[in-house]
Amino acid sequence: MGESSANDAGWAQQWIEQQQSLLDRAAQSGPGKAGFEQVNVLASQWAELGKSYLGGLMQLTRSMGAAAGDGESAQPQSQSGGAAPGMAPGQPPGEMFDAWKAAWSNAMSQAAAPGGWTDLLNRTPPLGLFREQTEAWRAVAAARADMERLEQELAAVLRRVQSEALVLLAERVKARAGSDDPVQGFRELYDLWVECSEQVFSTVAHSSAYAHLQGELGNASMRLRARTQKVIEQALKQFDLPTRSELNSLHQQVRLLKQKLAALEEGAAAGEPAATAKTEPAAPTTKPAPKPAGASAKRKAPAAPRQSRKRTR
Amino acid sequence: MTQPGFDSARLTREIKEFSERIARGMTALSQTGEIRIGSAEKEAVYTEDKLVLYRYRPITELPEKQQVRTPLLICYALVNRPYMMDLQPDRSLIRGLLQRGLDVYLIDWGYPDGADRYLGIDDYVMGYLPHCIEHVSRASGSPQVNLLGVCQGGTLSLCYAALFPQRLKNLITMVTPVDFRTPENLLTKWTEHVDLDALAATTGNVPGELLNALFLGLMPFRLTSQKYVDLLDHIDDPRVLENFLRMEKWIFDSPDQPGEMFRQFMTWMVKENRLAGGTLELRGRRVDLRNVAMPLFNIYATQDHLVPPSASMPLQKLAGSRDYDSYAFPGGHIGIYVSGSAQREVPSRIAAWLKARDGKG
Repeated sequence: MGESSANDAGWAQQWIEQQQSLLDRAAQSGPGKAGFEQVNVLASQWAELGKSYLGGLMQLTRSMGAAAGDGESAQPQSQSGGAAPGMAPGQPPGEMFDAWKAAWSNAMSQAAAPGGWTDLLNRTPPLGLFREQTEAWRAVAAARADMERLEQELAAVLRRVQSEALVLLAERVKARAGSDDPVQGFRELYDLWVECSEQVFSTVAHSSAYAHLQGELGNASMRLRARTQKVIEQALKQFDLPTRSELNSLHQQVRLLKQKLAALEEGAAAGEPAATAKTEPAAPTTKPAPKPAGASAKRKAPAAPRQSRKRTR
Repeated sequence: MTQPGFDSARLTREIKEFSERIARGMTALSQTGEIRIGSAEKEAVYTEDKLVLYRYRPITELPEKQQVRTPLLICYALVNRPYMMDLQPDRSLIRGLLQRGLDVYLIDWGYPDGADRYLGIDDYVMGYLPHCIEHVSRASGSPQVNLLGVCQGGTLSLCYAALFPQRLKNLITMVTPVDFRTPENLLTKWTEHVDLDALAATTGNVPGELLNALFLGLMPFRLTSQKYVDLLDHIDDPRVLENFLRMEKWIFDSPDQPGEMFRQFMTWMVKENRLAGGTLELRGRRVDLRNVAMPLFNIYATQDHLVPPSASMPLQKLAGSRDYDSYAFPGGHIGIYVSGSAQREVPSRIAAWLKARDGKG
């Protein structure tokens, strides 16, 4: 173990030195360094560190493997069943990397399956300073994947409609060919195709399965939209710009104030004390105090309507 | 490939003619210019927020006996624009009513924006609509008003009539859904699994384009393809082309729906069918259709794919009116306003029905 310990200490020292070097070089690069270049330098240094770290780990494993060859130290581990993660009890520690590699490959192959990467991401909780932002973006990705899946399902249904419509069209053309009213031109054929398509589609459209799929797709698209809105609002807040949520809050307050005002006006018209006016407007009485568009509502020319005049003749 | 009935010379000729029609169509479309909407003169007599109440000017001098003394207020839907009631001189329900001696008012709800997203059904039924009726009543000197509700506007009118029956002399509903849970109602089926709370929370006001996409989706092959191919058959007729483009403008000139109003309407009316079930409450007051005791004229279209007759017809049983009449127009949801037979039938039936009840009560 003595040699191993010495090797471990050397690896740790090497790592510390590289950290120091990295910090020094980052400090030297200064603010004038282009951002991407700096990132590249850091990335390559981290890669070097990774290799060094793995090298150290290999050394550690070899030393553990050597120790496992020692009957005294191997026996208690085997009895307790305390194998390292990814290792079967009694598995030689020297094969730990193979086990790890197999686990990683397995995870990656799952990720490569449709929706697998999203699933993998969703199962991994985000951590750290940007936890919230990461979570929000992951939610967007998951919603997008969900919507795309449902879009594909809907597209498959619509393809089936078209396919069945063509079969029906062929039947109808064949049936008419033997009658005294054969299909004689493209236009007739087209009209017949539309008729067949609508007939097949109508059957599908009235089915509960189609209604369910339509609903699911609509809901998925709303989820994507809502989650996208969330990340956009997060970004807007960083720049102290107003958001839809804030506008909604204001609109709700304005509506409430208008209702209170209407109730007060009705109360006043009915001779009630202001304090007794209801928050929600009561049913309109014969005097809802409408606002005439012109000075005289009955015959004189009205004031210009705010919106419709230019649209209506 | 030779098929029974297919004549290659005929097919070649058809392709050639079709190509020529497309070419002529492009020329014709480029020469149409601005599409003009509306025909009857009107003036704005009341405004509130984005709402404008119009009064139409009389177009005929009829003897007093032939006039309908009680003014008629038309409450249109929030979906699409009310100029469908007066699209052009020869396609105008309003013009037809004016010609028959009616004093006509129309509510234009305007184009809701973000400031309107929290307006609810109660704001329309217990706020805007009563204010308009009050104004019409004052301006005309008539204590009661005739109300004509169209489509969703008819549903709102029924709510108003149930809450304030004393203000209405007669009620007319036109292509108005009352029972939303009938087997033919495809829109109801499609909204069954939609999270309407999330929809309203996410979109705010529900975009008109979204609703249009939904309506086109009801008959996608006809509405997105065939009708444009059919147009080529009449591309040389400037009048037909102009009518088509005018209708196209109306179809796609769709205001956004105030989010909360949409959420409430779709949840309470469509999903939960509260109006027909007698469980709808607005500001703590129950909307009971049995209170709709005034004379009631229910007009629906037999081939309506948006509001199927089965959604309108139950009104007879649900309303409390003992003077119930109905008219099944042989056509669709849009044909009932603009078709030739609609111009002949609908205004004359409305006017005759109102005249018969004008002196009573």
